[in-house]
Amino acid sequence: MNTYLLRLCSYHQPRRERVIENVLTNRQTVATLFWAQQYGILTWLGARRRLSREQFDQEVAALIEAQLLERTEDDGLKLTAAGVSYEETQPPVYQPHFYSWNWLANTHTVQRRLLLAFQVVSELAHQNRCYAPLAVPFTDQEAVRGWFKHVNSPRLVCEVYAELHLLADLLSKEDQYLGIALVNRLIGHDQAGWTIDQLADHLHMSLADALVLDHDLWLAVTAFARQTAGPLAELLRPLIAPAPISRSCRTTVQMVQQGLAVATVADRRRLKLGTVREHLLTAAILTPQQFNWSQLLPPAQRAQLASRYHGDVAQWRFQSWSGDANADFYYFRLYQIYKEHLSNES
Amino acid sequence: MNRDRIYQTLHRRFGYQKFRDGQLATIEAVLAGQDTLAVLPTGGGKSLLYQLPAYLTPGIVLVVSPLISLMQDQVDRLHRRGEKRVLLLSGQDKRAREQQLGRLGQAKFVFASPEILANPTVSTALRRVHVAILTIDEAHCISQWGPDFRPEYLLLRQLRELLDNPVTLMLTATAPPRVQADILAKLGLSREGVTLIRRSVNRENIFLAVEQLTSPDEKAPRLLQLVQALSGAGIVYFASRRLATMTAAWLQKQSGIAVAAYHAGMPAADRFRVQQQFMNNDLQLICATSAFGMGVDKADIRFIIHYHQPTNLADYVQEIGRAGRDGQQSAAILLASPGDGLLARQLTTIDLPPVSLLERVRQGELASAALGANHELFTFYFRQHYTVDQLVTAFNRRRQQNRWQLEQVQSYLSLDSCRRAFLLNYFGERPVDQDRCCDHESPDWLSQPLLPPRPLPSPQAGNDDWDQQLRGLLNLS
Repeated sequence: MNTYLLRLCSYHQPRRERVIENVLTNRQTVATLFWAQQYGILTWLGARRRLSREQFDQEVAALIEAQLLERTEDDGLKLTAAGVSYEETQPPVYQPHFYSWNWLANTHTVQRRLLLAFQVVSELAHQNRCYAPLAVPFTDQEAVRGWFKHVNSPRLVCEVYAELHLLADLLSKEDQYLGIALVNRLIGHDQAGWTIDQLADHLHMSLADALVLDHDLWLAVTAFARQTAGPLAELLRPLIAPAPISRSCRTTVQMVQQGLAVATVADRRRLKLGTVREHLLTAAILTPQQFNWSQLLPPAQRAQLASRYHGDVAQWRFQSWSGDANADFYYFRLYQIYKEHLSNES
Repeated sequence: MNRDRIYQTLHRRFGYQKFRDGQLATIEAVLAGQDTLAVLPTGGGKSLLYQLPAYLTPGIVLVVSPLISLMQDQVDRLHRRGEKRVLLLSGQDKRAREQQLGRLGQAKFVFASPEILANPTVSTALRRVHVAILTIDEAHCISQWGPDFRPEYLLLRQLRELLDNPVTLMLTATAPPRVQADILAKLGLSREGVTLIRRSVNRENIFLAVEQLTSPDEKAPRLLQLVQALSGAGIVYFASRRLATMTAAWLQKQSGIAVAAYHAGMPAADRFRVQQQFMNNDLQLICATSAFGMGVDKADIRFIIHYHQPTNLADYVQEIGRAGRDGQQSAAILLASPGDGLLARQLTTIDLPPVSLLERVRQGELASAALGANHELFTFYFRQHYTVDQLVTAFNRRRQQNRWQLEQVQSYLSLDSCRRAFLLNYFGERPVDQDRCCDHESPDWLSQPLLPPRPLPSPQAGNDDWDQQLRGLLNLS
């Protein structure tokens, strides 16, 4: 049984299963992001992008059948007492170190390109031209092909070794499992590398731990590529996002922070008003430190909202007050995010 | 074509000295420009039939294949021979496809599914290059999958005409005469105009057995006994991904044998790893769905076990045919229990929506989504100008065919006579007399040394010294 989902559930707080699923598969909506923040699972965004609905439902069903999880009346999931006890008696062997970098890149694409590129270099090092390359989508093949043409030189093998040696060394200092996992996940000459099940077996951990570790590993590789120079970093750099929020979202935030009204931004950008508001809420959740709270949620507005809503943010029930329910809900949500930000800051 | 050149190519490109039965005749027919239907047994070396002529013919060899995994296996094989002029057209976004089509001119081998070829951009691009040989791999799919599953197979006839009727090579291991006729009819070819190269479907070196169990619960323990008793590499086929995964973990724990699961839901890199490890003998056993093994390039697979019954005997013969390609004694065992037939029936059933609903969608009064999960299948036929009556007739005919095929599987399971004779009769062949035939002749077959002994691999060693491992991968001392 894969106990991965236990890590994302709580005994005290029922959590909506579709929020958990959407977080893992990186389906970002404001509602998902907001509730993920409430549940404290925002850093798990995109941790299992390939997870299908069927697989998710199967994992949930198995955990419910094992009485480690239960469904609450309002379709939430929560840990049972047995689930808590399970977590205590069999605590996770691996804790992620790099999950706060979840926005850096799609780790599956990183993985595909790095594995194929390394395989090409490994076979080159063994002077073997007759081998089956890892099957990856054509776009990734082309990226690796173009990269190889660009970086190929008599020094390439040594450069790749030096780069990976440095990376594995750094990773091992962070966590001994990471260095071992990195090198044993590589595909090369006469070495197919470990599958995720084999990774779990060899490192004596559960499949759940192995899945957590594997995502952490590729986030670490990406974060490393962002900071260093070398042929593999060069390969991965085009995949790295400059910020946690999308370019379009950033543009909206910049325009609003320059003093334009939300409606004007929507007009100029030919976006729906709702989309502009979603951009702002997304930025408030994902980059609260950079968000200009005093401009976008002025003290007077906060005071007005504070008179209506207090206590546990997750328990607030929205009621429109001005007759423009959409605008009111935007401020309601923004205020919830603000309160959460304040509580995290303190 | 001069035979010496053919043999030279065989030796130089493929490293073989001689052909297997049926290969030379097929290659000569293709090189003589004859449309050819080759029905050769599994493991008969069918990929050579289009690969060798490719080196003696200017132009591209277009290979139509039913599954990405099968195409990928073929592409991998070509790569392993050092052939890089290979293109696998896959269902990617428009930009990626345009990039792929831009590479057509540099390709010698192009692989594509019937669905991709139904795309006008793709077929138009193929028209611009010279397709010398059109190969239809697993050609029985034209007949098997035509009406209710892969309707795009029916468009291959148009494609052939669009490409100015290139020499067409149809390859299959499992086509009874009825299916052979259907393949030709659906491609618009006449029997007289096609060279038929046919060899027996029989694989003498594969022992056939069925284990009748009284309940599904008995299957797992019996499977464990079997994999412990049988030597060498093996594949266990399951109808469910989940069961394949769970059983792989359980078997490894119980038996100590190096086992891995394989199914289409796994990440591509892990599928690649499992396949490579199996070929390198790091794994002894694979618990797989049918996604595994169509083109697995491993000659010494000793046994195939089916945990669930197949939906038809053609698929069964294909799957067990992955054993014993080195000619050594091998075995095919099917685990049967009450209720299996129901699962198989569920897997082959497609429910037709009500006629009135079909008619309204055909008339454009309703969106096709009203037809449910299989709406694209039904609308395909409407695009091909089928009436609702014709559609219903085709599906009913297909349903009867499915039922008949399932009945044949049931009959095979419950035989109290020679299983090989039954299979051969199914494929329109006469029975043969041979040793080590099936469990009817040798009910206590498991107590006799059937398979050649072979040391078992242990699970792939891990390496905690990552620097040593990295140096090894990069060939650094």
